[in-house]
Amino acid sequence: MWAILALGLVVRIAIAPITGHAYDLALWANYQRLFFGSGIVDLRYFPTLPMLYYLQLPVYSFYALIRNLGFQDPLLFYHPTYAIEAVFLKLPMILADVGVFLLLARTGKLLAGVLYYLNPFIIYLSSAWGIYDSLMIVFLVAGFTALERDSKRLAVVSFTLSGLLKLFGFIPLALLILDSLLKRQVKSLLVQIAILSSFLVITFAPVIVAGGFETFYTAFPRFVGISTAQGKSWSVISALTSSSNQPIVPYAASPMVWIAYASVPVAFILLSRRKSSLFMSILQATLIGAVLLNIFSQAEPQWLSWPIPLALIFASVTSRDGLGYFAYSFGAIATFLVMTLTGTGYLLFGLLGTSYLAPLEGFVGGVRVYAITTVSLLLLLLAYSFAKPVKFKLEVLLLILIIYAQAYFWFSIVGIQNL
Amino acid sequence: MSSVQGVGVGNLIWRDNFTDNAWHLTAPNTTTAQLHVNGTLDLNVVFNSEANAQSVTVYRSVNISLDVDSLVVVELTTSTGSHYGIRFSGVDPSGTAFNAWRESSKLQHRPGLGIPEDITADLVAETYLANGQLPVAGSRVTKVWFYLETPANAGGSFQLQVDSLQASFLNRTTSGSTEISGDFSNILVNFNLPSVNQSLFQAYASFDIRGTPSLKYTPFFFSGLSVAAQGYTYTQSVITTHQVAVLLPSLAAGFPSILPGVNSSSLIIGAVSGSITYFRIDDFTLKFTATYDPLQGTVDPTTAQAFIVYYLLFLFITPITAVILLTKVFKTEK
Repeated sequence: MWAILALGLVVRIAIAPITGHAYDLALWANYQRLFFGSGIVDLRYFPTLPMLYYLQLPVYSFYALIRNLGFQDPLLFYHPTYAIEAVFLKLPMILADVGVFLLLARTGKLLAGVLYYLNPFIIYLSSAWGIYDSLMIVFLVAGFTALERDSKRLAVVSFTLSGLLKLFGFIPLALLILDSLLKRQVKSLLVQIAILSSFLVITFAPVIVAGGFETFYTAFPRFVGISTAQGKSWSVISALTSSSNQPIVPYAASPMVWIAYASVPVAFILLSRRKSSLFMSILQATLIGAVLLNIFSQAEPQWLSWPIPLALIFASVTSRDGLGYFAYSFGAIATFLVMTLTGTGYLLFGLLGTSYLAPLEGFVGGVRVYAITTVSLLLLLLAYSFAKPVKFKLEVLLLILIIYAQAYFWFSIVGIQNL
Repeated sequence: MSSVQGVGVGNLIWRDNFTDNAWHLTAPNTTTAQLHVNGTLDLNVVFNSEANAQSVTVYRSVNISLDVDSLVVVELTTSTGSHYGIRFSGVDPSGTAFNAWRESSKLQHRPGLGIPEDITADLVAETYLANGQLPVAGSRVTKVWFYLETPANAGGSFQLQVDSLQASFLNRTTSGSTEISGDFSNILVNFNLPSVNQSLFQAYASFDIRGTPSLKYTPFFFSGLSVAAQGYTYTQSVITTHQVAVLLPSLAAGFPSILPGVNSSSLIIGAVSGSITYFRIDDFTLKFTATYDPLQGTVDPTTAQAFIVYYLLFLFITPITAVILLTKVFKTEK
């Protein structure tokens, strides 16, 4: 286990200094530099939920210290952050990956832990991109680990922390609250609401003091799918219905997002009635939610990581090795798709508009090819999760390759969208 | 902040009643085009499917001075499936002709929507954008034309109907406070700042806005006459009139229909459709950075290749090989 832990850290640390999503890392660096350079806690326009800022502060303090001691950090290519600075900014996410691995390994799910920890997509998001989905996931996994052991209060705390990083974490929390409501467990319900309220107050108090509440208030519609700002979309629905090769739509205004929202409680109630344990019902309903949100909302590419740990836990507790291996392949293919969609040159050199891996990136109709392939992957993941357990076969990868090649042929070479 | 200005349509300068024979038609042989001018301008065109894009143009002479801010407002309807545009040209005091349109303008190659549309064009701004400099004193717009076009291999019967064409003074209403009410196509917030020379990372504009039901607007941050950053295009929210818009240099691809001040920094909220009836600016924040422009820069191909190989080695090859070894080769014996 320790060898795997070390290997996972080596690959992450090898990648982290030379890569980074230029815009996201510039944002994280901007806020940390402002605090450690000028002592200003600037939460007024912090673009995400503030937990990320709090978690980055202590880790970045070590970097600030070594810089104050005279450390000269190299600046690589056109990145907005210094090489070692990028490592420190990504370190909370990398440590979260380690945390998920340890949580799974220590609860008898070593294979699930390995398939998560050494998953290229998880490595890509935390160590190359520098996005913080791993932080949400570590608390999500901690919540399910607690729930599996019937520790509901610990699960509520974990899910609350998860939701305070990315709202998706609130889905299992909402299901726990729904369960208490349905079973009329008033005391349990009050405890859950008290935990949630206290964490909300603690987390948002500094933001409100900094005058950032109205920013959050106007950003919130984007998080829940009712924003009126128009931006790029990667969702399959927008990709296939838009006449443009780069769909521009209201950020999260897919009218079908309600399918995802409604399906989760319905699935949970149906699963509960089948005498599934509370842990299994919430796990399966959350997995369904992760898949459907990726299909029916204006999902961001990094959201593809959400179903992976859920599928791996489900695979582990139901002995569905086929699902576990598919979830791993899902991540590897998602890495390729997202990497070629955003452009290798952007993460490696901080340059937009490059296509070093041409003709696999920067091609016409790329969003459509990405969208069709990812929706196929998501549907296959659902099939592996809820159909009769089957062994994983490499032919499945061939099937996905055919889907990708077909989409590439029709949208990029033939250009049927222009006919 | 020094002032908030609402920019809208003022007094009428000129109006085409579509009663004379000032309009002329030019059409290629591959099309059948008919022009009727009787209270409205009706252009009916049958395009045969051709290998190249085709267009039919109608034009007339006008005489609108560029010494004053003026706005052309057009009400028209165009069939779906076709594209259309409006162009202007003029002469300066020495008699030299100039174009007052550019290919990438929002006024060009617009898709026909099949419903009535209001289109506005600030003539001074269009002239500036077309030529990169403000028109010299005494310049005039002397010609206006509309065109209807189809792309290659697309034929069919299409119509352009212009119900109204008029030029009006650009009415600027200045407010000493942070809010303004009226009927505006653009809001111009002048800041007491010189042009911004530092590398801008992002700007945040926090404001309240209300407008007609069809209001759609885009915020722009100007440093002098250059768009330093642009925001997303917003529709009105049914939940709140408040908006915090982020403006990014990487989004700067458009231009509003008016020009800001030459030597200052300003925020323009440009209505893409509908009009703004109320606006109040709460806050404007600029964030600067030493970040490079991600669209400019090169990496030596050999170095790039080496880094990509290194990246792929650690991202894909090492973890996937490790997983295969762990699950297949080093499996615990049962």
